[in-house]
Amino acid sequence: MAQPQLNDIQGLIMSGYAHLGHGAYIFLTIPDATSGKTWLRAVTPMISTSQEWPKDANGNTIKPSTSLTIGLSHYGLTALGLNKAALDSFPYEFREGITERQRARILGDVAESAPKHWEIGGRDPENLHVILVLLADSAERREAFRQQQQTLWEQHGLTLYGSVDGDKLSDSREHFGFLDGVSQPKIEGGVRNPKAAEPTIKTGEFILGYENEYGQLPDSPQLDGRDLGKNGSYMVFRKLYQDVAAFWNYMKANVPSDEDSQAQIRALSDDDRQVWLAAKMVGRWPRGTPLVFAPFKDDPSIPFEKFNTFYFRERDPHGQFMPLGSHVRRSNPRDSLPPNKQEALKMADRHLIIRRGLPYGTPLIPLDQLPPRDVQDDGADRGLVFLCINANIKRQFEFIQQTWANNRKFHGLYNDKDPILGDNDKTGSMTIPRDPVRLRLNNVPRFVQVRGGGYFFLPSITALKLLSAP
Amino acid sequence: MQNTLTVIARIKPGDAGRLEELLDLIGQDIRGKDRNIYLKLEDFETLHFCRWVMIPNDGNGGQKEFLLFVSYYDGGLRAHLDEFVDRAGEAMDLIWGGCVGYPLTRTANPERFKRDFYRFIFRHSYDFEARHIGYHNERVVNVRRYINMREKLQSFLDLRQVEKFLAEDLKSIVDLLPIKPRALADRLRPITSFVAGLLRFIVFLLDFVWNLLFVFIIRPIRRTVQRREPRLNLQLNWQTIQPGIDDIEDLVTQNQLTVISRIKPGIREWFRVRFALLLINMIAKHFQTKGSLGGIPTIHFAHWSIIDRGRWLLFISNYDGSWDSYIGDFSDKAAPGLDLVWRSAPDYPAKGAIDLEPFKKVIRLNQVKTQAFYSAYPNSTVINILNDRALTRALDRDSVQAWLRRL
Repeated sequence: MAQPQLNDIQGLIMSGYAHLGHGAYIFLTIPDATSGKTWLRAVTPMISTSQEWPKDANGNTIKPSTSLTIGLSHYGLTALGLNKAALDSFPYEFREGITERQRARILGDVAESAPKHWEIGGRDPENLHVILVLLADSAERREAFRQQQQTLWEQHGLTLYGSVDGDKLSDSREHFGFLDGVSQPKIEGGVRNPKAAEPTIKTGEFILGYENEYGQLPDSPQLDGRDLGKNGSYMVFRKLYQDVAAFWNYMKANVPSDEDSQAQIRALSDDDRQVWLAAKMVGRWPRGTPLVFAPFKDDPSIPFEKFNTFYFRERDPHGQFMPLGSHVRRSNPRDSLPPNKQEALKMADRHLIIRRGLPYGTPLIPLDQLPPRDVQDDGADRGLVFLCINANIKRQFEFIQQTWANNRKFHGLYNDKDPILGDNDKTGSMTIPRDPVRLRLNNVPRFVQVRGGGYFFLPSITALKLLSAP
Repeated sequence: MQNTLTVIARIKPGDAGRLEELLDLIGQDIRGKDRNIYLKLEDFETLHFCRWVMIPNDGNGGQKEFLLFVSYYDGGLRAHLDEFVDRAGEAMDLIWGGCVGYPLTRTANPERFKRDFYRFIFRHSYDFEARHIGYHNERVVNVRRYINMREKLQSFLDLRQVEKFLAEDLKSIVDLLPIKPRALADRLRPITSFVAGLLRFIVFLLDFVWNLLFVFIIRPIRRTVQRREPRLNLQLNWQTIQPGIDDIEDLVTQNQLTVISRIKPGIREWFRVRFALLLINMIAKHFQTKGSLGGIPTIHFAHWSIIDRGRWLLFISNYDGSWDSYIGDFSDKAAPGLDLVWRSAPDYPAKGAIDLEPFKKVIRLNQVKTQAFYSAYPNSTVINILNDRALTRALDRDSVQAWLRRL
């Protein structure tokens, strides 16, 4: 196993910077190659790397108070004047971009979520060149950081294309009220892997230049015979709007009655049944407990450390606890799919992503009191800035979206898409397996809409220097 | 009994443009709901899947020179082709009329035409070397019946009163049912299943030996003395992905894949490719009969045919889900078998199918665009169909009716 070169790898790949709860996602346009390169030379030394954080005299780690990540789109690389051979050496999904017609269809970016309606990156992706991810430990520090960066990019003639700010909500919940970002893979040779990380995945699934889960080196872009990809990766950005009122009102409208066929459900209060229904769709209780450990009510005795260490095959093969079609089970089916445990795990491990990103907008509902009462939409924009990192966008991010989330036939189902992330259009259902008889909700609407997106190359520090060389 | 038809006919010079336009129109509206007024395939009772593919010939300036037709059907070939003539005679004229050798006397003497049409198709048809079927011995009408029954049951169960009735009232009755003592047949199961297994193995051995004889001795002799296969002189220099290759991909639950790859000349390759396919065919026929092949549970029908007098290998598949997940499954689950078959294809990855990215690339490069693709049950996966079948077979009409009469 080759040890990853931490000081050449951007910091966001190895760390979620959980202590930096205030983010700014800034999108820029490069006016011409010369200005782009001089700006890139100026900003490169500020980019955070995955190098181990320093320790103070007492041996305590000194965590950084800010972090900066840079990504370049294919249009951005073109704007930097990269030659055609180099541009063509990038994978085709990255070259075509997230808005390409077929791609939009398989990702479910259709109807209201179609790229032409997006606020960021949909209508004129040719002007979306750069993403800057600014993270800070306070809103004030984020502002100062933004000012500093803005002065720098304006100095070099770059213009602001768009931006969105993200802020951690209380208890790391997302807007529907559920704990987010629990399931993360552990990178082989990585540092700062999260506590509940599972399992250990080959470095090459997330960083170019290392062996991946197939025992191969990932394809790597080249510049004049030099490896441009090594220690770099790819990042997907999506601005996901969450319709909180629609989500909870749906639970209220479809909640099982006192006449329900299952005694354990009849024993719950109406409120608890609404939360139960929402949890069945997500696959976890709001606190994060996977349903495989607690099928009817959350069990507060289950610690966070166990939130990502569970399997399905022995405990819950038919989805009686965590439905086959629930969001968490679809996003990483672990050992669940046929034909056997070993094959299922091998396959699941070949389609994982690292998730970064933060919620944006202010909460509509009190996140610590679920279910909410009488929710009405206030028209405000809120949701999730979804960022994910993978070495192969096609095989990882797009595969999950197409073959797991948007696939009506996932895991032997008939007509169910991911109730959270799928491009539902009120023609599909959500099947909740239970004994003696399953519960099926029909006409599931779409609760999450896409309002922005882009594919970015996360160059290594070495590659940034190559790209900015005059 | 399900059968496979593979036909390749030469397109008349000058007819390629018209044919492509027509097939594209049909392909974009394969169920005949809108602009396709020519073919209503949904009415066909013998047809599971079919496709039309126009094969370009780079030796002829990239002209679309051949028309490939593949169908999976129930019963005999004659009845299958008669259904095409009876239900879509004009469409057959329009499509096959663009090919050299098509019989023209349909309206004058229908019976004679049927015979000539059969001869035309048969003369241009190819055997399969290896084939996989997801659900053996299921006729189209049966599959549709299973689907229909399951859909009805599901909507019935959606009614909350029904759910409650089943969960409480019916369950209280079910709980009163005695538990059957283990019958003698059950106790003898280890012995009977051993005997059945042994018999199956003997059948497999006999079939294997027969197939060895057939593929390596009988058929080559027959080909030289009797029916010489037409020489196509295909020249395909796959350097770029054919434009529009994914135009009709991911529109319904199922997808189509058509791959034409080079078989290297030489006696060793001649033997190796045929032997590899024979092995796969025997495994698929005798041992992998429960819906998946090599652990891949998403293949409805697939087959390999050797075409153009042994120079090219044709692969046809009708599978569930996305192209990427299917080819990913190839790599994850079936790499050794596929390496054996495709190893000699140009640009095949040196490390084999396990090397996913180059493998995907070589498949896409060798893939030919399908113009029109039809499935008789476009919303069902193999797993769905097997489940629907199990659901339906658990009850049989006569015994349920007889049981109810006793009340």
